Amino acid sequence: MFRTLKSPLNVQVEVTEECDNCCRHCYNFFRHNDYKCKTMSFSEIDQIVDELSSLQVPKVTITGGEPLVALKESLYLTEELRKRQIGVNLNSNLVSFSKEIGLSFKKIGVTSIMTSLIADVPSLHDWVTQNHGSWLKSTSGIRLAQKMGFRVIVNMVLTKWNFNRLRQTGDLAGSWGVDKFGATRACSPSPIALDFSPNTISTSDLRESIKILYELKEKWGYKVDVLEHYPWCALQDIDKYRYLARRKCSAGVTGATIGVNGQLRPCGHSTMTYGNVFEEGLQKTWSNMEDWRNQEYSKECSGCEYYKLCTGGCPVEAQNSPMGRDHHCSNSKNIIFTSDEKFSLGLSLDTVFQFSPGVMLRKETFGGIMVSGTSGAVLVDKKTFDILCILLEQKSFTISGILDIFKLDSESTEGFISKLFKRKLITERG
Amino acid sequence: MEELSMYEDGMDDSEMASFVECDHDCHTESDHNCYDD
Repeated sequence: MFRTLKSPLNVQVEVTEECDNCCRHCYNFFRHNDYKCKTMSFSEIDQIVDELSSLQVPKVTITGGEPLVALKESLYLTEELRKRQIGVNLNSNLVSFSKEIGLSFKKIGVTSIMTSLIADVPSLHDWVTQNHGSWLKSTSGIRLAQKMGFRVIVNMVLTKWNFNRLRQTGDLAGSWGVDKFGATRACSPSPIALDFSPNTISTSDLRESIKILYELKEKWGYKVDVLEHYPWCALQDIDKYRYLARRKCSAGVTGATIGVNGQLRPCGHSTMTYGNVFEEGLQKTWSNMEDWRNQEYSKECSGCEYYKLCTGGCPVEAQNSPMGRDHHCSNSKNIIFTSDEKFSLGLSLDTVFQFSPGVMLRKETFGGIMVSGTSGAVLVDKKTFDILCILLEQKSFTISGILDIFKLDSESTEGFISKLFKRKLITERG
Repeated sequence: MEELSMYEDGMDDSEMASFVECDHDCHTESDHNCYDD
């Protein structure tokens, strides 16, 4: 019915193409080309922030390259986004992280950092990053960021080079008390896809990695994740791995990437461009991505009964593969999936709720979206959108009050409010 | 009696819901979680 939002819900901004590492698996296409890397100017950053703000984009991920290599620009971008209530996530290898840098990011509201650790073994990490001493610098950065109170998420990019170190690397992260540990397959970087593909992990290794992740979760009590969309037929037991299966390919549907030259791409992996944000603006370039909204690049999976929920693996991986599909796609016969049952938290009718800080109601052709930079989101129809606008004006509300004013069904209203509560869009008023 | 309507997975017109409801974009992370992990 509807596949086109007026703007993305999450934009990744590649503030610089420079990086102090040169990872062999890096999905940045520009890191495998022989040209001079660039960094956005302050005026270009201003332009991007204006575009994101005027189109009500709720979340931005600051990435690169390595954002800390362009420290002034990354801090400026973060500060300008936060001034406009836009949620910010920071991806960094933490190689050059210091107390001074940490304080600067803390001051402007950054609370968590996602970073990368290739292995528990320094020599292997340094071989993959092609940066001697990077393991020591990154691990020192992780420990310092933790000490400074940042929520640190450590992700291990899995290839055949480091797969057998997964358990030990997860143990190391656990011994540091990280908040979350991820282990994510490397996809073949577009410019070197054919040469790289022998280094990607097999489907059985992918399944083994998930099993190990959940054992590590049990052992250390941290959260676990994968940072990319895995096809459901690779995960198989969706009931068990519901959390990992939540990641879809959102490229061009809810997400997009702005490169250092202003070119809009569907995601960081893709080399396809859809116009220049600096010249044409975000709305125009975003509207050009109809092929991604139509899932043109995952058609091989379109016959699968889970296609709409799974989205069919990574389309860039499919484009780079001679088979024309994500190499971890197999078939749906072993998928275990039970639809969610009716959801209710059994909330009291007289509990006073308020909208969480930063929640916005964004109008769309079908109704609207309720979302913030730090919460989940819901799509609602026009009538519900109008009611939510009234409740937002009111500042606080109770379920019994809603039932009285709008003459709504009691059970379904409690279920609806429960979902808003679970997605942290509303909170109990203290 | 009328109901508040949220588009969700499994509904006929929910094509966007599974993309929108939770943070799930590749290489992004936040502490928000729609699902029990």
